[in-house]
Amino acid sequence: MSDEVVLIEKLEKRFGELQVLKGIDLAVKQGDVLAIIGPSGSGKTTLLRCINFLQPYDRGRVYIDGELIGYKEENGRLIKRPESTVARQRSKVGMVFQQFNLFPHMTALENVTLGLVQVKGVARAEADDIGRNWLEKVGLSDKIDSYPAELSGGQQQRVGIARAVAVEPKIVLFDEVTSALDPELVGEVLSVMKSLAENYHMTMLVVTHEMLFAKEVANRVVFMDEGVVLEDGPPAATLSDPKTDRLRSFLRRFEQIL
Amino acid sequence: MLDLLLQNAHLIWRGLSVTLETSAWVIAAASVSGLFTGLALLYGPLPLRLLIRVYVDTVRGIPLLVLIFSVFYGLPAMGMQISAFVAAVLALSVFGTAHVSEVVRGAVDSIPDGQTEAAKAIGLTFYKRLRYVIFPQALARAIPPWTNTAVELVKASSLLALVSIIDLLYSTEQIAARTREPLLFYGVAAILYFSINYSLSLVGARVEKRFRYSS
Repeated sequence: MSDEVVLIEKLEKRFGELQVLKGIDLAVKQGDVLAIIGPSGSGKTTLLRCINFLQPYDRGRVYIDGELIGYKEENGRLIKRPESTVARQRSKVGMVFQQFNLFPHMTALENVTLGLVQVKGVARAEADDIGRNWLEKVGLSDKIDSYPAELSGGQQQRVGIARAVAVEPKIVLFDEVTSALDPELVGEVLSVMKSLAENYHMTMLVVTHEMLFAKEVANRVVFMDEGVVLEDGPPAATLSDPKTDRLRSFLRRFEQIL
Repeated sequence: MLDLLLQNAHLIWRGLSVTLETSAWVIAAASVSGLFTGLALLYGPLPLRLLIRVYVDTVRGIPLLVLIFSVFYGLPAMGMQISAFVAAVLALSVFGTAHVSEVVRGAVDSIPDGQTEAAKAIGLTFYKRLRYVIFPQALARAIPPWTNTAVELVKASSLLALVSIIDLLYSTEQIAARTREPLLFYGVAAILYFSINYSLSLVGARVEKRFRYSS
């Protein structure tokens, strides 16, 4: 395969009668930061969830690092992989959720180290070091032993980010990670994401409504509508000079920011 | 009155120990098997889920006494020779398992899907997701209804008097009839049943507190 970290071919997903993804093609290179934008119901979140197989897809292919995710292919047919294989594949993909989904019975540090110890087999002491280090990088060195309920939304989400990146995934998926936050807490989360992109060159797929983030941090903007990718290009092109009417009218409501 | 109590203390004790022993076996058996049937209700293959669903609903829809008589008379009729005690423990366990299944299913099911998804996303396998993410949270929620079930099982063990097992209730009946002091001895029995169950509730509350986290 090529040097793409993520390769998506003709991806289709339907929920009953509703076809949510209608043939997505997408290639993501190491270090790419994609802002995936589009109206609600356009399939952005489903696309992310198919990439780490939280949502099994119906047709098409998702490759990460050249490995087909969730299925093996025999004579052109997709056959589901066993749970343990899917779990190993998922460890190559980090995910940050809109609702944080931290483990409420664990401290911030335990949230971050669970995957290191139980998935990657890192020794406890070393995992704690790595965990502390990441919590420091997201600005939470004083909250290491706090439980999620003791943290603000912005702090919880930064723990969520540390948890996702600590296991050194090939890519990190961000699913509207600032949508559940109070407006004054959005900035702290976005700046952590910006630092991941700029200082650590992480490959990131970011489903977002934060157009400033798309403009200033992403190197590609992907516009989805009704289950297809309508535009895909550098923010300077897509955001300033959209080719489709759909994107033009979608961007109209962000005019004041952009 | 005190004399009467002391004279019969060893009989009360013998009855009490049968009640305690039966309850302990039944609670243990129902908890272990209920854990598995409860998890099977959630994660098992469809035929197994249906089978356990039918079992749980059937058992919960039958009066316990009918269940006890069925096992007590049914198994010997089918050629299985078992002691009255084993038959009784079996019948109560079948009953308890059905209830614990629902407790386990309800507690695990009440953990939000986002927890499973986050656990999947970091690459945890099915077993480890349960072990490290779901069970610790479900346990705190399962303990109050589990304690209820345990208390019900202790009380239900008094029905064993009807198949001639000399438990606390049956020995109380015998003493009361012989001494013609029903009020005194049933009062003692009531206090003893209450003490067992109150202790269970206290332990349950303490364990729940230990596993609870602020959320």
